[in-house]
Amino acid sequence: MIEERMADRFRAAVADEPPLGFDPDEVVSRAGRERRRRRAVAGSALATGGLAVTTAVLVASTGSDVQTIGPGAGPTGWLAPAPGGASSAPLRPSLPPRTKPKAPSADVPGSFPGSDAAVAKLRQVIPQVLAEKVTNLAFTHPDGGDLMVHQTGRLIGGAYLATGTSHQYIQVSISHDRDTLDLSADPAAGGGWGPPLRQSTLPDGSQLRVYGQNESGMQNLSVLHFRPDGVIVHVDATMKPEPGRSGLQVSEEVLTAIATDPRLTF
Amino acid sequence: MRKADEERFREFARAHAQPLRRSAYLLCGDWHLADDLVQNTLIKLHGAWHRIARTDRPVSYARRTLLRCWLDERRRPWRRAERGDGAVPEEVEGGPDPVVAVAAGDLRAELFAGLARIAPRQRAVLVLRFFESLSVAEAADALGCSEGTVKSQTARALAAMKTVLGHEAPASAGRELE
Repeated sequence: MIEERMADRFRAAVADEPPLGFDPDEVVSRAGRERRRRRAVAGSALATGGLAVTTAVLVASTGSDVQTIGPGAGPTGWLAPAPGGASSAPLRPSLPPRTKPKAPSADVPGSFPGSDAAVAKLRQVIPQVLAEKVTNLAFTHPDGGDLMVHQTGRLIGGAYLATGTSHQYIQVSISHDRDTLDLSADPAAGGGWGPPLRQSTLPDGSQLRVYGQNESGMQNLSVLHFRPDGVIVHVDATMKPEPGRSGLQVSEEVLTAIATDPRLTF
Repeated sequence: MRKADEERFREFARAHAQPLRRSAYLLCGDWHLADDLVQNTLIKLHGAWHRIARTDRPVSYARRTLLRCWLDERRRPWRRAERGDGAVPEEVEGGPDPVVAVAAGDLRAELFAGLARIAPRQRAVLVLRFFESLSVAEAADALGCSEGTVKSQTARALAAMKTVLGHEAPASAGRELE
């Protein structure tokens, strides 16, 4: 019976299990510390919000010049310090105070020659491209914080959460491992994706492949652009229906426009 | 979290970290990633422990959280970009008999090559049903789907695995190695 064989194979596969790579006690302590830290940050944000309201009321009542929001404001949700530096109260108290973006999490380390410069560039370029191409949504970085760097395949990518949602992401990753068209790096080759919904060759010799998945209400649409110079841009929309929002908010055409944007390269 | 609750959670984490990691390994095929998945699961559980502790099924909740962590992980582009070539994910280390160790490595490679060909949720169904020995109803609960879906996914996954493991004699080498 195949069922029995599966059970046997599973048991055999874990028979020579290595020791745990972490200490459960330490994980529990870390989780507790993180929770306390988040509470402290939330309390601080609340206090900042209260201060902001007070300041806004004072500014309005004294007829002072209205402060301008700096370049850090906007879809990313961070506020620049006010000019003059004495009063840094944000004008929109609902937004969180400016904080330093988190470093990439320690469990996904990675770098490769030139990755720092590429990250610095893409940190600016990806939000720009998203803002231009996806006009119906604004994005913030998800919990992960900064862009991720993956040494294998020389990949840099980030997941951008649609503002006001908890499960609607656009993920953009750019990899450049070889200097020629690299169809062998199609992640779908790893299995589980099914055949592409569409594939086409563009006039410049690059290839587009579109994959779609729909599992338990979680919809996913991926567009991959394999460029002749070896760059692969992978744009992926993952959307879980939420109250008031159902289905993908981003079309295949929009994802294709992002994937083929020439600015998305190292 | 109150001190008593934290202590209970610590006991839970100590007792279940290893079993959860075995399931995580069968899902992802990488012991290091399995470690990460279980740590993420424990951190998420910690945040919800006050609710979970009131139920009589914290293990079921933990299993569901682990599956969600893994499915989320699968969707990340840096995971998808890893080339799935069906290679053996881990070297077999040590072991009393090198011949047995090599045979175990071959069997494991074949298993994971087969698992790589099926959809993530089908793989999850196989692990839940045939490694964790859950009933159809329990697997449906862990996956958040209907029992009918579990049955159909199981049938499809087994059919796919049969083509990979089909040539093998019913008394499997895996059992002989135990």
